[in-house]
Amino acid sequence: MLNALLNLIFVTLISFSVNSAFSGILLAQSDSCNFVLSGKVSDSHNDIPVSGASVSIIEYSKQIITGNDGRFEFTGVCKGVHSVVFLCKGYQPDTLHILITSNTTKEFKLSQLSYTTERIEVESSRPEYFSPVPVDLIEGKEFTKTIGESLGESLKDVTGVSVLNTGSSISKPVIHGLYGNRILILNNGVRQEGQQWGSEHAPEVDPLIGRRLIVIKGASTIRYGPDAIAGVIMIEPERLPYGKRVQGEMDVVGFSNGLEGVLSGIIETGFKKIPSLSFRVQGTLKKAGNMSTPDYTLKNTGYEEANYSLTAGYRKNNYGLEGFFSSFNSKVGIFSGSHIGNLSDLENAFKHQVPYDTGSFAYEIGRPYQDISHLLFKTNGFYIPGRKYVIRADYAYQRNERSEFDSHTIGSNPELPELFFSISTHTANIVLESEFSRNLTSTSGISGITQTNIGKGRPFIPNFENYGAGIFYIQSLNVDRLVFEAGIRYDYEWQRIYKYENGVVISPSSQYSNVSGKFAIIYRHSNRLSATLSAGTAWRPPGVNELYSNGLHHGSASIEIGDPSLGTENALNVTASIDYDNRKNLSAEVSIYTNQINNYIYLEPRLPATLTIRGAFPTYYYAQGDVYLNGLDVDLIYSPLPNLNLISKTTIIRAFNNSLSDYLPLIPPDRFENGANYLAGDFGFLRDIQIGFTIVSVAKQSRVPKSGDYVPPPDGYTLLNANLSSQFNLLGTPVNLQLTGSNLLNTSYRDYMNRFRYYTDDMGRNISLKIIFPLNQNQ
Amino acid sequence: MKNIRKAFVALSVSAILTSAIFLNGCGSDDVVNPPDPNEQELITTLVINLTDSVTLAQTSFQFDDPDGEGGNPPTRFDTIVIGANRTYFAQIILLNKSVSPVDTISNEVLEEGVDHQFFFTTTDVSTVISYADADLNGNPIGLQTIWRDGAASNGKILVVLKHQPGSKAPAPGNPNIGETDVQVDFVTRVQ
Repeated sequence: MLNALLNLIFVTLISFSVNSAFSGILLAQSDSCNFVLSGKVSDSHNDIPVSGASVSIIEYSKQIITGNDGRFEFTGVCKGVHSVVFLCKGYQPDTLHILITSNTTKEFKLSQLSYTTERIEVESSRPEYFSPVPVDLIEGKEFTKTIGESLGESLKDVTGVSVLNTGSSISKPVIHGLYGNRILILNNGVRQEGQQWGSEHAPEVDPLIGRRLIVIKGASTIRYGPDAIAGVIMIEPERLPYGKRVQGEMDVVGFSNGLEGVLSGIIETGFKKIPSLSFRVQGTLKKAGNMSTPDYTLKNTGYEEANYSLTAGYRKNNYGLEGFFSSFNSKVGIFSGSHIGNLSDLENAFKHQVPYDTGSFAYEIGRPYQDISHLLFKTNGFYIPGRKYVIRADYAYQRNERSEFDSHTIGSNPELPELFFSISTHTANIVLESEFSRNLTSTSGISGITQTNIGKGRPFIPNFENYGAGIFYIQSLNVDRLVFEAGIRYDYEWQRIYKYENGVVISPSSQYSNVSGKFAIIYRHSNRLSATLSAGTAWRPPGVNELYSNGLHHGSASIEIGDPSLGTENALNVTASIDYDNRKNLSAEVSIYTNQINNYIYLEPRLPATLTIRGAFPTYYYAQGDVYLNGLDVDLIYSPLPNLNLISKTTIIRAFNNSLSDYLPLIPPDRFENGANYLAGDFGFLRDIQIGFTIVSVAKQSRVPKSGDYVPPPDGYTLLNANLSSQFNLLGTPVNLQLTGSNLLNTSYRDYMNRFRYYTDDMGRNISLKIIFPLNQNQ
Repeated sequence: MKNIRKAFVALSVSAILTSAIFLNGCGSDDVVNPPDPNEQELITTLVINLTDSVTLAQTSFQFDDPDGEGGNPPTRFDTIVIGANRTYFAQIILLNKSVSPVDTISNEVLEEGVDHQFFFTTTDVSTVISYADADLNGNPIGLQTIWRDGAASNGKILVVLKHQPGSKAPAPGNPNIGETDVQVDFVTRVQ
């Protein structure tokens, strides 16, 4: 009801704005129209000026062709926001919205269209993702807004992506209703291999190793593995600054809730005299104390994180080598009231609206907590034997260690974790990229992986080792307005586990192999309208927990029993999307998808409950069934005034288990985000002021399994978030400011996708201030 | 130039070879030694020893699950049979039988008495249970209790041990706080 009302308000707002739009433009016309907009167009990769580029201001139908120096100049420009369009053969067309309040000079970078040319100007540190299928990007200002947040939180503004939380400190990204080992995370191009068994296991990555996040929704990326059933998340560093002088950035972030502080820095350098050498050092420190709901503070919910990475690169025209090392370390307090001994504890917790274990603010983290570290070492290189080919190779070693300290149980050693896992992974890839002609390109490659998992303490996941190998081929063809992309991949995996059964160690092995493929057609009707239809298959072998876990899962107060006979899970994903942008004031992206998963692995509750000395526990068996997840993502941006954007995002998912004739659990409820963004120009010493607000409305999830949940799903809720960003000069350096407020009205709510909804309300108001100091000697 | 190309190819190949060497060499000794479920901190056994206040005759009732939660079902789950209109002194003993020698966990409950408390809930039986011990703060622990039986009756006695670090409430305590370490519902006959 509330959502309907909000949408009504939003629509009314739009129609009202349309009426006032014309008067707005007329007003702007009557203002002084004697400003100069000048600038230079250059190539984004080599900084060479682009000549012969068409630069036009849409509002005046004025057009200028750049000269050899790439320069252009418009005179008689009026005050206000203007849309400037850049067109040049061989380059990606680009539109920019510029606010003119004085004579303005700007530098514009265009990206080359031909992928191979781009590869020869190669960004050796960049993952080589260049599929023509559209992706979601978080970069620039959008990325700046997320600085200091976890990976899951950073992505939640992407339509179709939501977050599965365990309290406020552990968040896992959910793409189109799927999460965990159905999502592939690429950390600087390397498959993240951590501990993904359990919703209280957050991805062990620092999103600040780069300044760009990419989300590829749907099973359409066989390039990095067969198992991206829901999609891929890429954390991408910038390319190293070869030939440039020292540059960097320092981010200082403070959050009011939990009095969290984040300090992140990046320093990188090339050498004018040695243009083939470059280095980068990056680090992040985070510390947060106990979080607060609107009414009380939650005991033991602080966390701390210390991460760093080092990159060194050597690059010549047709070959290059790079080394990358990163270390991620975090300690996360688990809300004491959530650590429960049995089901009646959980029922008690829920019946009592305010948890018994509320506390006062403190930074100290006590039991129960998690201590997690992730090390990654990567070396990669490329070699270009001729204009048509690029060969890439990489090798990476990563080690993930996870210690879980339960709330102090009788007789346990306070220094030792009750549960410890160490998983080591080696991956290696060789890829050949070929451009037979401008319209026909292919990528083929082979990859290998091996893992060893060692556990100590409470036996929950057995030890295991596995070996896997894959081979793939992807071809892409441009015909007129159509782009076709097709690919096929084959993978094989062998696994052996070691566990105690009836007092002796058993070591059964299993193997899995399968073919996956993808096909996509992109139709570009005009530069305003394009449509994409893509289909892909993906599969994953059952996880070790799904095969062999047998015991109490403390996080969920249930006994989980694996099934060693489980087979692979196979998904078929079809996505259709339409992208419209009238290049003036309206852009829309609508996509619908269906994900049909055969032999989907899930937990099935079975009676009777298991009798233990701690009472009877509900018992779940891992089972397989055929399910579907269908959904709709809508993104709308409408600009009734040149400096006002109205933004609307809709995420709807419907999921059903055909084998059980029942709904799937933990599917994100319908979510609507409506907001506005206003470019307010300059005020005093503040430049480029942008003010925005968003109303997030989340419906109640009424489609839940009949078999029930410990407690019914919580009601829907509506939150108000706001954001203000600006820039000012400090000693000649442009410093960026971001002031963000989430849950501004301090609404008490519980979210279906937060496992702590059983115990406590979600986070109250949180105001953050982010200050970004650039460091650049190149200007 | 040729040399550099060769160097590059050599580097890539060596990187892959290194990985192959790592694969075989890495910690294979550890992987074959998974955690032994018999080396855990568990409570496998709950024993209630009752001493008749008049005859001093002793009876003992048990819940026994030697391999802990999950796995094999409990091997012993006694029905408590006690006399009507009698008074008993009750002592609870908790054991971990999964380790050798057997660990008496109830001693640790006593040591950490300020963080633990037993709660007893009777259903349909005439037994009234009162605390007969105290922690350092003078609040009951419940390892020692007095059971007073009334008329003959059939029902249940629920024994719950709560771990309440830093949150144990003053006497008579609050059974809703904390983590449950033990929860056994004994079928009981007062005859």
